[in-house]
Amino acid sequence: MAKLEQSIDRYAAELDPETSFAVRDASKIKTEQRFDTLWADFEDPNAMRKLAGQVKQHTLENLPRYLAQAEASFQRNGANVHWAVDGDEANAIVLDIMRRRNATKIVKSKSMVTEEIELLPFLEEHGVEAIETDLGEYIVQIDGDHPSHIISPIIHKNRKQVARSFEREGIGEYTEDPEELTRIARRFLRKKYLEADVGMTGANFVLADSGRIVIVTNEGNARFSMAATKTHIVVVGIEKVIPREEDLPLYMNLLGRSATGQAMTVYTQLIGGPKLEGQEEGPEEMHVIFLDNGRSDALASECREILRCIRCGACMNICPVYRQASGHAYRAIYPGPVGAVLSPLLALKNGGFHQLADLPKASSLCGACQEVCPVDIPIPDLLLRLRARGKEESAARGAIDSPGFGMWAIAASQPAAWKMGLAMGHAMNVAPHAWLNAHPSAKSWQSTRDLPKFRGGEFRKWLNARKGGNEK
Amino acid sequence: MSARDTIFSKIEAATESLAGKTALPELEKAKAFRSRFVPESEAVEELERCFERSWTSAQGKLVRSEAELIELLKTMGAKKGYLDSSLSSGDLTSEFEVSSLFDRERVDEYDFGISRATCGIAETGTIALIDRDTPNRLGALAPWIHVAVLEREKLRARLYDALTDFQKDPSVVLVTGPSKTADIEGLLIVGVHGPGEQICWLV
Amino acid sequence: MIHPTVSGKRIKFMMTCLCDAFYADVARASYEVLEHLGCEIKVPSGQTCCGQPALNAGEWDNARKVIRHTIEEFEGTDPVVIPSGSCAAMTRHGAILGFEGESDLVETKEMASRSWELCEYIVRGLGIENWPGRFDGRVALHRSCHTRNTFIYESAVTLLSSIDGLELVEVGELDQCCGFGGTFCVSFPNVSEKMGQLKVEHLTESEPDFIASLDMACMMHFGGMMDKQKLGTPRLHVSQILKQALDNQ
Repeated sequence: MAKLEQSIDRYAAELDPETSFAVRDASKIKTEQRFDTLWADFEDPNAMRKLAGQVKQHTLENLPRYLAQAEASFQRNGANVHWAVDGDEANAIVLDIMRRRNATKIVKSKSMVTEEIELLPFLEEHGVEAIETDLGEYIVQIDGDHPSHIISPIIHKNRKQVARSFEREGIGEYTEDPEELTRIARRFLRKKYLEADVGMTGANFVLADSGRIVIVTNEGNARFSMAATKTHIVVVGIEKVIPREEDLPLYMNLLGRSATGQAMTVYTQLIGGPKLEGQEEGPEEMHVIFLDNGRSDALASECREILRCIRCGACMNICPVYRQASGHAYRAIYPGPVGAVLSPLLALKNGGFHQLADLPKASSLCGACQEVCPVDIPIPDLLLRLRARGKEESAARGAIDSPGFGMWAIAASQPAAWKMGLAMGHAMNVAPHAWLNAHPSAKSWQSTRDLPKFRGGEFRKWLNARKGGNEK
Repeated sequence: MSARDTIFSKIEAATESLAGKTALPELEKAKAFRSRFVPESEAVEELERCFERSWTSAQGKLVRSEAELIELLKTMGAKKGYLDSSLSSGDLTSEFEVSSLFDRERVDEYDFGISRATCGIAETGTIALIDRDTPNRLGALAPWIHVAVLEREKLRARLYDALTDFQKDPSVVLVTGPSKTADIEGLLIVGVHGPGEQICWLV
Repeated sequence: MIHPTVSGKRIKFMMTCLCDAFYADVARASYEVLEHLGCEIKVPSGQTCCGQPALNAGEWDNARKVIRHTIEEFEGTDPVVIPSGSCAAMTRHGAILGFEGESDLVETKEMASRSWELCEYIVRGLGIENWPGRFDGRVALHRSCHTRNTFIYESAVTLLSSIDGLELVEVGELDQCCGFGGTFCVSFPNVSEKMGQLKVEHLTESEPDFIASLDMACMMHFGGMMDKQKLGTPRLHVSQILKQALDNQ
């Protein structure tokens, strides 16, 4: 019999109550904030989402053209452009830049793509100190942990845990007061910015026509990285490009509200090239590293729409499965609904799809994610397509739950067989329920629910009995 | 084959059959989505009213005279600060210790930094700081208090209208209030790496 | 999601596999409601299932086999009326997805254009917004996920709230799924249970007299949980409320 148990489900069952509550509560609040601000501020947010989706879809369908345009624009602005097929190449490019600039210290802003390529462990191996400066990511770093949400990295932690971590690092007096903890981080990280050689960021958007990256933050860490250091390195996925600078405001209207209910993040930076001559502080060199790492495979796949994602996190905030399981359950950099599609797809490049083929199954296909996605990604459809791929490739994890629908399909396309099934099913009502537990699905069902009474064919009988029957 | 060639050949193959499938929407469509904060007219008074409302709701503070600014800085306990040399100092130099040099070795000695805003956006309560008008990036960022000097004529209605002010500046920072975080237990804390007090001096 | 446009009173009735197996009462109530409306109803005897379980499991060949059979059973131009948001959504969206690139895709689209959920058919197909009769009680209506992107839930609200004596109560967190999701509920039992538990809490919070659903799949799941916990709030499919109101004129 097919193995029933799914690791994401197991993870949810074993998640400690404190973390579980923190994740559910934070997710619920952000979902409400998103809804409240979007609908208070705009008349038709759904039309905006569809339009934003169209711009991105067009861009993806014409990606070679827009990437080439972006490259030319950056070069015109005096920035260096690099290309990396995978994480290893990207990491090597970063190290190369470090060496040529005689640099050993990096201050880094939040960037999921750098988690994806495991940049920091690589740099550490090569004697480069890289410090995360986003408060949540810094805490994740000193704990040797992983972010559990793409916007709120430590929604699974509380203040006591943060206090203990700071004390362990010896960066300040012990305190559990969040404001005090933040002041401690400010003082400590400030020194790091000023000592660093390189500021590293990701990019929320790449503007193809003007050759600028866009970075949105609230803390000011990206600003500091680019005010205090002499070299700026950007690592960005090839799918982040949008055609025109004037496309940006639509995404700015949607991004903050979708992520945290904010109309505008505190800082939005448009960066196109090294500092202006005469500017006293800032990078003398800007390097943009465009990363593929499986995105071109995703682009070629039947699920390319997932590349529209602008990393707002709204889908995981509203996802009932994510809320119960939390981000780490997904065993991948990108969790939740977007991750359930993107993570297995990105794994295609090194034949790792089957290892994550259970992710698309961790969904009741409720559709809430699509309803909140600022770029209208049809996530449930993509999950279904990946389930079909999983079955076709007999992906180990993809196959491990459903008993197989071959017999069922035969019965459901042959009325005589179907009616026989209806007749036989009555045995369910007289069989001891313990016997029914022999089938894993029935056992799973009965652990928390009563089975309904089987009444197969009763409606048909009733119909036939009236006035000689109305069945065709 | 270079990495660039590899990537481009893959994405060209991936998108070969997709040309013309999804058209690029006209910009007018996006511009038609106006938030409830978009000013009703381009009149300076209306832009100022909207700017003040959005700026203050993001915890920004607004002053309209040097006297008002001095008073506010005093209540914040400021003693020493950085002032962009292109701005005339007036009474500020007599009330505080003011320097037109930002010494990064003494970054924590500056209580405030005063620099020019290139423009302001009324809809969102945002000011723009660009390299051309900001002599020292750290001066506008590191001190706990930042004062952005904004000329009324430079108020724009929406981000769309402000884009032309940026020209080809390599560093455009759009600022909407003081720095914040909610990373710890979702609690809002004001003042992280950037300023904890963000003032706009409207002139 | 295709929206149905082909209406009329000569209809074909899709009972749904769940009602065929477990919920004869619901099929009967739906049928009688349609009779009351003056519909000429045919119930194709070879009908089986809309094909959703196989599609959701990723077995698209098997799903297509069943969908083709269903289309054949319901061939013609008459509207198809279905007492289930889930089966209606499958017919109007899932099937289209599953037939991408197939030569008979056009047949699935044609079927989709005349397939209605029951309440949607009454309100938008026949234009009836006021339901006669009386049904006394405070009712918590479950909003099943497959009513997203359709007018099914709105139609049910329109009908139920028009009934004398019936008060629809607020249900919290309507955007949160009950946790059925087909095979999801047995292959992710822990998550499904937690989702179901939250749904039961929201549905029973204001102590309604009845819990109503547009989908027996959802109700089988959270209802099964309620039964196991001996929570006695009576549960009815919307068709049963409509029928009871008719019987109470």
